Amino acid sequence: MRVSGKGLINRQNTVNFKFDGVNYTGYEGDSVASALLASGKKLFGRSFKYHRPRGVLTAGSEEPNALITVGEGSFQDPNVRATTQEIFEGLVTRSQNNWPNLSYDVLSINDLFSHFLGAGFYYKTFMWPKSFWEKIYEPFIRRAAGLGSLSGLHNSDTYEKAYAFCDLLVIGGGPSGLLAAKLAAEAGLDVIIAEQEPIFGGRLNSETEQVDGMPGSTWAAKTTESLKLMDNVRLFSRTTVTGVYDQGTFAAVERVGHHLSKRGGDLPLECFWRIVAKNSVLAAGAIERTIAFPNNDRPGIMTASAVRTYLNRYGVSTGKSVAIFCNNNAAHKTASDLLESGVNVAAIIDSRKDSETALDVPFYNGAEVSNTFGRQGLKSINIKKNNVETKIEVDCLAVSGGWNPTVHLTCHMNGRPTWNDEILSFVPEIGAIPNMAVVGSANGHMDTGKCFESAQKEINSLLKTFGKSSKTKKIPNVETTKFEISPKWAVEGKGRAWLDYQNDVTVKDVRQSVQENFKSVEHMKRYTTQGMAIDQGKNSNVAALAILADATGRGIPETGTTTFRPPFVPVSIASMGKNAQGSGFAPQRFTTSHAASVDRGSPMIEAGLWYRPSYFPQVGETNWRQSCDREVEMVRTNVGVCDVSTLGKIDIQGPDAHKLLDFVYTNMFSTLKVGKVRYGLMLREDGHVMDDGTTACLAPDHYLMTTTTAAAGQVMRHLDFVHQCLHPEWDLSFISVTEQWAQFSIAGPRSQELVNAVLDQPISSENFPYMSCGLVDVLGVPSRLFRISFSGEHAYELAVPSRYGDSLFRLLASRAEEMGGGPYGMEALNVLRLEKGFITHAEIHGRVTAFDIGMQRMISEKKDCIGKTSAARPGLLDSNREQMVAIKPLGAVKQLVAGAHLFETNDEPIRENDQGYVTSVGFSPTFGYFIGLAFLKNGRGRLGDRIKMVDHLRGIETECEVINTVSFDPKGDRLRD
Amino acid sequence: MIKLLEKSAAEGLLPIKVSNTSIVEVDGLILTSISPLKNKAEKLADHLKKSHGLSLPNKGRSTGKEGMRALWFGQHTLLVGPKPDGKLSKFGVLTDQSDAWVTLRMSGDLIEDALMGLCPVDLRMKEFKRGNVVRTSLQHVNVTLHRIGPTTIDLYGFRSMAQTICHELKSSLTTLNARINHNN
Repeated sequence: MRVSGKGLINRQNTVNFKFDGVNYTGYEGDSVASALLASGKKLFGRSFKYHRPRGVLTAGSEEPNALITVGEGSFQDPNVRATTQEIFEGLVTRSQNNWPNLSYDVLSINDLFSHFLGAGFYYKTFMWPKSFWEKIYEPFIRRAAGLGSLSGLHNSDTYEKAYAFCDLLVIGGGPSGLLAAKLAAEAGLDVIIAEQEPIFGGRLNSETEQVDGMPGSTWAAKTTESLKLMDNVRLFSRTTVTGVYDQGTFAAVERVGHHLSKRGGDLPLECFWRIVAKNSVLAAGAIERTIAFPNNDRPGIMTASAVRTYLNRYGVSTGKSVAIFCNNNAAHKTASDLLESGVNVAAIIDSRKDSETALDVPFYNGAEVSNTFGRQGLKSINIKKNNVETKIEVDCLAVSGGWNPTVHLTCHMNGRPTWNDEILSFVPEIGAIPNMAVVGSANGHMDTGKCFESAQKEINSLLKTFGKSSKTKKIPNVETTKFEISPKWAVEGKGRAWLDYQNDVTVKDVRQSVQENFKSVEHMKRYTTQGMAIDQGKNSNVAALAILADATGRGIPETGTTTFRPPFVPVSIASMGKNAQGSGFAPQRFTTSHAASVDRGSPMIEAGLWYRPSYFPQVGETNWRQSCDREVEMVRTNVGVCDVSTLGKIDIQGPDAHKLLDFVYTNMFSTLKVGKVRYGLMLREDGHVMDDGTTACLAPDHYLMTTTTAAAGQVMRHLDFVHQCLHPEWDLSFISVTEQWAQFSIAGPRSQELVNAVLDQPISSENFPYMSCGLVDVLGVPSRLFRISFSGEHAYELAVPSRYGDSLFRLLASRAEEMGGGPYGMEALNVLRLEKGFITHAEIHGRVTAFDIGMQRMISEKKDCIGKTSAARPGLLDSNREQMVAIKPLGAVKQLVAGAHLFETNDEPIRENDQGYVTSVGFSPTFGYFIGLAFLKNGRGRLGDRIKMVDHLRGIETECEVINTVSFDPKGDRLRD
Repeated sequence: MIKLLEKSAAEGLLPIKVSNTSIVEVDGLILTSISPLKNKAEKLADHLKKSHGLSLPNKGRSTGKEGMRALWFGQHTLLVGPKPDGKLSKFGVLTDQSDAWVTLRMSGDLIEDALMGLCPVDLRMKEFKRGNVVRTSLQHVNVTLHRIGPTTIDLYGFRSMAQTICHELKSSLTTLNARINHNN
């Protein structure tokens, strides 16, 4: 119910929204939780395993119980904390993990069998029979135990990613963070302050304490306004810093559109920030923890600080009659705040024997809450003092077991928090994050005055490193109260005492973990699932390890914490991936002939980031094989045109250029004459093949190296390494010209005729023999011509500056068609090279040597080269190594499959009998059968043998003959013609 | 007589205009990569000064003005604008890159923040001043940025990736503009 005169909400502006199909009304500034609590709603969801009724426990992002699904259809977001979701007009929300509805959930029957469903139950029970796991147990458990679900539709929201840089990142906009930002900004630092709430102020917005003679929330608002007026301050509200990474890099997620009615347009839903800060201040505050007493999970039981937040920030009383159960004096503020607002306080139960209060309320010191009652909402509690139990009726119980400083971010780079006996909690390890200072309650300071002092101290010392000093010497004036606490982790008694609400983990589960010898905190976490899922144990970690420490007889510091890992709060994958949907998934590289190829109906295939035409369908062709077969025949009998621009091109110049070529290629290039091209093989330092390609000598000391499409980047890096690290003394320079030139292969018996149709000066076989290169003019455009062939036919590659690529391709393709030829795609290119036994990276896949592919003789004995020594290791020259051969089908089954394995015909096709594998296959229309390239043990010594190809995945078994790799024109007469 | 037709790298992709910010292609530039030969850097610099009036730029910097610039380009210098004097090749290696890069001129109030949504470098005016050059990534695409003025930045990217670059820039501009409109 609402309390008049309280809260930072705008009561002038009512907001309508839905929860589980029912209309509710709140005010601008309300969260879903506060608005529903104001309407008297207590039941928010069902627990993870036992489907127990649960209500709101907290008022922040650490909420474990009140998880809801927001939005509908493709805009649906599961597992949103009702405590952080702001309401807006038209908001639609619903509860999760129940059927048929929240009040009557069939699976709450699990709760009756809880004796059988404790920690470890799954591991022990669902082990047999083995075959049941995948088909029966796992689907059932997944359905029964779960949180929210995705819509299954494509995400319709827009996301954003952004980078930011600053001198100082202040994490948390509470009193410490605001003061730190103010002091640093006044001194001239470039400051970013990030606050996960919509408004700055932190606990000041939830408490009634005065700062500088005004309400804390007013001081926070005024300070925020003053920061907004400063050019060197950026205020990020609704922004949670989620992770810390090397070199001062922070991840943060900003909720840009979650509080707005309009979704799906250009306005992003979330922005994923990467903030690089020279320094940081962690002012993330602390999170109140609860106490594990029997049946402490009923709706209406919440942290004492949450009760104050709902009262003071939202103007909502969480009950008509409230009791407070605590082990510290800070929780007494809850009673005084409630009393001032006219809410009945039924009791303060303080476990400290010597505690006292000046408030006019029933006070039980040295007492504890021993049980609670009320199935779907708290109705009464039992108070136990001196072994006497008293039952009182309350509908809300505010609990405080102390405060846990928010140390998470200080642990993201291996820092381990240290135990502080004074506040009975962990505080950050000093220096855990380079250039990060921790201030305020995040560092264990439990009153606002001390928080301000720590912020001032840290900023002053930071400013010294910038050679600056603070302009404000006096910190805000606040009344200081010493925080006093005594240990009270759990209450013994009948009934389950919950530690981790989100994962349904009880005190008994932790003790059972110890009984099963899972005594390490990391083992206990995995055995019980404590500290997992959305809240990551923010509420339960410290209490759980205190129970663990007690059960193992160790101290809490020795027991230690589990590892805190990013992200601090859930981050949607969509925000990290930004627009990486559909074609935005990866960059796209298009050749200059792309549009012309698409115009001709060619389907595109991806080759790395490049898009290349698969084939060029013609009227009447109903499948790709028809097109491919036609294109192969076209090249063999007439002329074909193919865009080969995607191959890497590296321009190498300088007096020592030939030395580089000799060193990186296995064969000799210093003897290559101007106007000539040579094929080269390149090895890695370990002696295995890295790449192959041709290099042309365009002029004295001027070479053009080509690489494969796949290895263009790798070869460039390799050359950089060789030049910069191995031979920086060489006088040369090289640069990629892949993008500068559009290059087209013109292949087939009539290729010269087509080339001459576009050259200003025709060439002949005599003046431009095989493996020639030269500068030519194509319709007035200075160009380059190479006589090289990847098809085995008389062929050329013609390169023009890229701006002319589209025009030249269209011209060549149409001229070729007039001659009875035409363009051809990757499928035909593959078949043509298979017929010739030419390799691609399907063969030189990183595990093969020059010896394996039959090119051992290409490693020149006259010079050294990278990889030469390694390639000479005996194990790499063993005759029983898998050597490259070709295969063709012999029996009734004619299909060959890349990836299939080879076996002796009489052997069982099992791993132990493996003889090799197939790397590439294609149907050769020239020969009328499939040709495959394969690696076979002692392959070159087994030409003519029969071998069995088995594809275990597809169930294909083909009897094959081992043949020479070169099926077509073995002497090479056609390409030299 | 048949002629080969020229097609610019970003043909059909531009202009992009969002609010007062626009992206246009700078087409027809002569781009030449220059790299000094061993022990000839000083002579190359002298001749560059003599022939084109340009100093060799320091790391992350540029020299010259519109129509005649030299940009630091990693291990190379990129001469933008003039056809290089032939004698430069006595002291350095020259490579024509006029068709290799798509060059975009981005102007307007949104451009700095739009690029900072895509590039992991501080592009605010106080860090990335007029004449500064930075090689960085734009999402997953390598680009070079050159600040021309307070609200104008030139971008050099791979020609083959022009479509992806334009897509990313447009996407960043529209989300940014939607944010500004919402906040206003």
